[in-house]
Amino acid sequence: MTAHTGHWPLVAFTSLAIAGAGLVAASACFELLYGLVSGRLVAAGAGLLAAGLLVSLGHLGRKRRAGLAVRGAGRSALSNEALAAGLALAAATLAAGLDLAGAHDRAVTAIAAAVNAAFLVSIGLVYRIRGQRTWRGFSAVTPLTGGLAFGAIAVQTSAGTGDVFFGTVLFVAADALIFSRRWRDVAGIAFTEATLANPWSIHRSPLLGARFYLLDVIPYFLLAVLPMPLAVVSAAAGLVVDRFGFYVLAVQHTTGHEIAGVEAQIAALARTPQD
Amino acid sequence: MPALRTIRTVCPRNCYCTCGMLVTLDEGNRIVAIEGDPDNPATGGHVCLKGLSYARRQTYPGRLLTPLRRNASGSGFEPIGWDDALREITERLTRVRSAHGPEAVLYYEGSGSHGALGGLSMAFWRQFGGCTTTFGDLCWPAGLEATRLTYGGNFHNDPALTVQSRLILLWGHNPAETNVHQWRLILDAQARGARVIVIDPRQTDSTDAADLHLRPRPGTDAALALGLAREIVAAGLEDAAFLDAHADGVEEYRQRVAEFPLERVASITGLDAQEVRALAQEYAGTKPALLIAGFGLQRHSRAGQTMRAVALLPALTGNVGVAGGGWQYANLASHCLRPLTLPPEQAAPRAIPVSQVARHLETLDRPPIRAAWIERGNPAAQNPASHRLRDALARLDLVVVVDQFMTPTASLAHIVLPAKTLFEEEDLVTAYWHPYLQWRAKVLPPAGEVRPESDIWRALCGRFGYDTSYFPDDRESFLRALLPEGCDFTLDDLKARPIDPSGSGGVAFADRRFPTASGKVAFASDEAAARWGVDRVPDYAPLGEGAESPARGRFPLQFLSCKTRDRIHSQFGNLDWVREVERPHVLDIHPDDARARGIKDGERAAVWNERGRIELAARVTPGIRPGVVHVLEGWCHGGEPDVNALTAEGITDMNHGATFYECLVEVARA
Amino acid sequence: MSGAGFLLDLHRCVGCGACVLACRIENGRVDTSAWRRVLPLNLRRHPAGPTYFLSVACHHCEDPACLNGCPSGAYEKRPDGIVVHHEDLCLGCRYCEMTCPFGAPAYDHATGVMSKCHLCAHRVDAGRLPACVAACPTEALRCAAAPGSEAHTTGAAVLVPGFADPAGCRPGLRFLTPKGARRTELFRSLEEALKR
Repeated sequence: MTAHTGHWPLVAFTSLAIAGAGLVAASACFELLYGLVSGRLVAAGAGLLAAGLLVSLGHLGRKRRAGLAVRGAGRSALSNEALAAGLALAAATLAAGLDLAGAHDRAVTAIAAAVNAAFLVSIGLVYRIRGQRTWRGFSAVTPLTGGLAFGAIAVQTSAGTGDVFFGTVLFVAADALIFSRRWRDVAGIAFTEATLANPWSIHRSPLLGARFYLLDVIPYFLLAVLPMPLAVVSAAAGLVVDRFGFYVLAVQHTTGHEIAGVEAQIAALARTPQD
Repeated sequence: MPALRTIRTVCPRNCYCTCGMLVTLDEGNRIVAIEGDPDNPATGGHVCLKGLSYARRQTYPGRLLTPLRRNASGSGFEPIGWDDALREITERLTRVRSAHGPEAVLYYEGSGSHGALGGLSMAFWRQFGGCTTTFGDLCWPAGLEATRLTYGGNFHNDPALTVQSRLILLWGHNPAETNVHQWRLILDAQARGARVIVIDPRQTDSTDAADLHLRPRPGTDAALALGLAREIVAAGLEDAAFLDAHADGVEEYRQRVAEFPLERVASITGLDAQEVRALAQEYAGTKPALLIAGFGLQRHSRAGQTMRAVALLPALTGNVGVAGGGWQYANLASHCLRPLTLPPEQAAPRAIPVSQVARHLETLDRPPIRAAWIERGNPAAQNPASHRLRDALARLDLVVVVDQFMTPTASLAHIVLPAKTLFEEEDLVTAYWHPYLQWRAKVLPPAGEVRPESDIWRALCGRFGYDTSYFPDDRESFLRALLPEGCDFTLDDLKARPIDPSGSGGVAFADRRFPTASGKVAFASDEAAARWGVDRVPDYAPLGEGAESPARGRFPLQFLSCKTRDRIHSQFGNLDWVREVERPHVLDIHPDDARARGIKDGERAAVWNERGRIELAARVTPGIRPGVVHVLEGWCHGGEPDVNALTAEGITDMNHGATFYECLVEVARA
Repeated sequence: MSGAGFLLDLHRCVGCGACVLACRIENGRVDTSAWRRVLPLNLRRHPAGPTYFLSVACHHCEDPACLNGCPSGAYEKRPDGIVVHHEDLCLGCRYCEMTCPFGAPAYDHATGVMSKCHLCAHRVDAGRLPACVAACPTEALRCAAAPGSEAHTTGAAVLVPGFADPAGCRPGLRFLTPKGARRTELFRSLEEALKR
């Protein structure tokens, strides 16, 4: 797969879905931990998730066959994700509905948290493709940690207090830690003729760095001063950069790359050409 | 049931293979399959990528389907009807003839499409009062004449016998690119233990697979051949019995080869003396050994003498007239058709050498050339001094070009007539590698408003009120009448399968009867001296523009422009299917030469000499000799055609060939 | 091993691309992407290594990434080993395009579904060779699934310099290594060097 294989719908879909599911899961966690019941936040999360799923249809060549996507559940990571998405949306909608109707239910909230977290995990598993160096390892966990970090920042902001909840610190720190491992993994991939054929690979450090600062650093410090919507904006931007970078920096080890690697080895083995 | 039908035909390109082809059409006359004809023993059940690409070429966007006339502003073309086109051509030809005489018209036909009916153009021109034609050939004539002088005729073993060779020596030949069926047979022989040796200044797809590769300086092959002969004689490895019985002039030849000791050969060719000796011993000591010479070996001014020197090695070693052995250059066994009946020719027809068209367009007088008709060729890209040729064509009063696509030549025309494809007219097609005569079927009706050239000539004759009886009413009976007198096959036989009309069986000169004056192999030739003014025996002289010439002071690099399998010259190169798989178009330059000029791989480089200048990306590769650079010929679909801006309008020492590879250049970063 | 796939003789393949064109004609891929590609190795002819060509399409893997990942189950591995794609089950999600490390599945914007080399299953079922194999003018490309054709020879290599199995799919492609005195030596020394 090249970095540019119709990735804009995927960037949009995953940004919205991760933001939405992350918001639902974080809200649900904060509800359970700190009693911060906010039906609006859960509903916003469900809305983002729904929007994301709608946008994901834009990626399909045959939109009307979308329902076929769950046929491979159990075997195909993508099928699992599709199923999880549906369940996550259902749970989020239920939890939001109960909250907004004033009938907050801890069990439903817990389920919503769990199912949306599971959905975030399933996104990472979809991309944990053998041969895709930039999507394996810690990169598979970043949808979960990134989504939770975003959600935590949003909840923290909307809570409107000057105190930073420990949950916020936890989620943001966890994401910072996990993502820094992804950053190291990706930046550690040697530049070869093949990787350089992707015009974005030279910009990988700025891209990864921007994501790190936008999602983990800036919002945290902003919130430490006072809660402000800018923190959410920064975190959202960080998520989009995260997803954009996720696709454009993809390095799949194709046969072409393998050949390029061997040719580099041949050049390195240079003897003086006889004549 | 799908109504598929399969028709047997043949590819008529200027190519060794001349593949038998099976074309399958559906009921909508769309081509659904192209395969090799298994009944052609040489090409078997395969065609090459170009043959397959006919499925795309037949209906390719951009294929010309109507006559075109240059529009008033001169910036493009507008479609016109045949009536208008022919009327205008008639008027303008008549005007030129009135003002300057019929020889003010140049009729130029290239090698773009082979078939007996191609000769019908003369049915018009001779009635027109004559015209200026070309003589000679851009490609192979020196080698043909060298072989004829030496062996009496151009025949070689049936290619199928290649598998019996124990040693195959390819000299200036790259069959992995230019004769894929021969290449398959060579690989088969190699799989059975034959040694494959290639002599070529470049590394190629053929040298990759060879067991041994020698890289002499371009243009020094005569010295190498004479040096090898000296080693063979010195080692007592010549076939004395064969020479006694079937060779003439051997003593003179021995004296000549004695002038080429190893040190001298090494110094001239740049090869190692020991590898020359080893090659001599291996070639002479392995039986049967097959020597295949390519046309590239003779694209310079010393062509004939070089080819004579190389051609004698099989005779020297007793490899002639044996299965698995031989001298292989060209095989004219299938060239047996009767000549067309044409109007009588003018008394002293004017003709110009085909390798000097630009010069003659510029300088001919009494009368000057004022008009040109060009068909089956693309001289504005493919001929030496191509850009001068383009400029000269642009100054003419009338240029008519017949072609399938808007080539660089067609773009200079006043009127372009759309040309047929191989599927759109029947004909008889000979070959020059295998001995098979083949029937080219009419597979499809001409597309759009296309008319085959034979119909164009007939129509033009009609316009001028000339006798049209020279043209076929029914092509089948017309062509049937061209089959050789007393042949033992009918046209229906030929339609059913390719036929070898020579009756010579597989081994050329098996009977050791050589159609030379003496009936023997000519190691020395009076005729060569008398006819061409060359030495009676083969000799070596440095190229005028070559490794030893003073011009190297200014232009130190020898420039080669060799063939690619992705095209036949400039044909096929415009097709998307071909461009997807084609080799990159680059300047091959050795790391030493590149470093000295500060050129890095992939950078744009300029190549120039006093004749012209081109620019393209450089590929730094050890696969080319230092002192030699290379660009593939035939590229003209992505911009300006290039290599022939640099080549010279030279003529070979015998038989009026071209000297494309005798070219010095300099290279620098662009 | 039994199973489907191609056998490529690296000595005989000259990288001409006839196989690519034959596939286009047979499968009606006139102005869409081709299902087969030819990749040169060391076309620059660096003297430290051999030069050869990899003609690749779908490798009909034993553990196909396309099949494993397809959410709708549009891929099927036939008993004879050929991996086929059922267009009517394809939603055009292009996941197989990501999971296949060999670039076999191709997306067609006009139809919105994927497609790939199916080893000319329609020809194989009729006892004929795949179009690419039949067309190869040097007889470098062969196939193991067709009746009457050579089974994968015991001398055949699974991996060669330039061809790896980065995703553990166990591709069905096999190679006959180069012959000829020069290229054999270069190939051998390159393999040695890569092992280090």
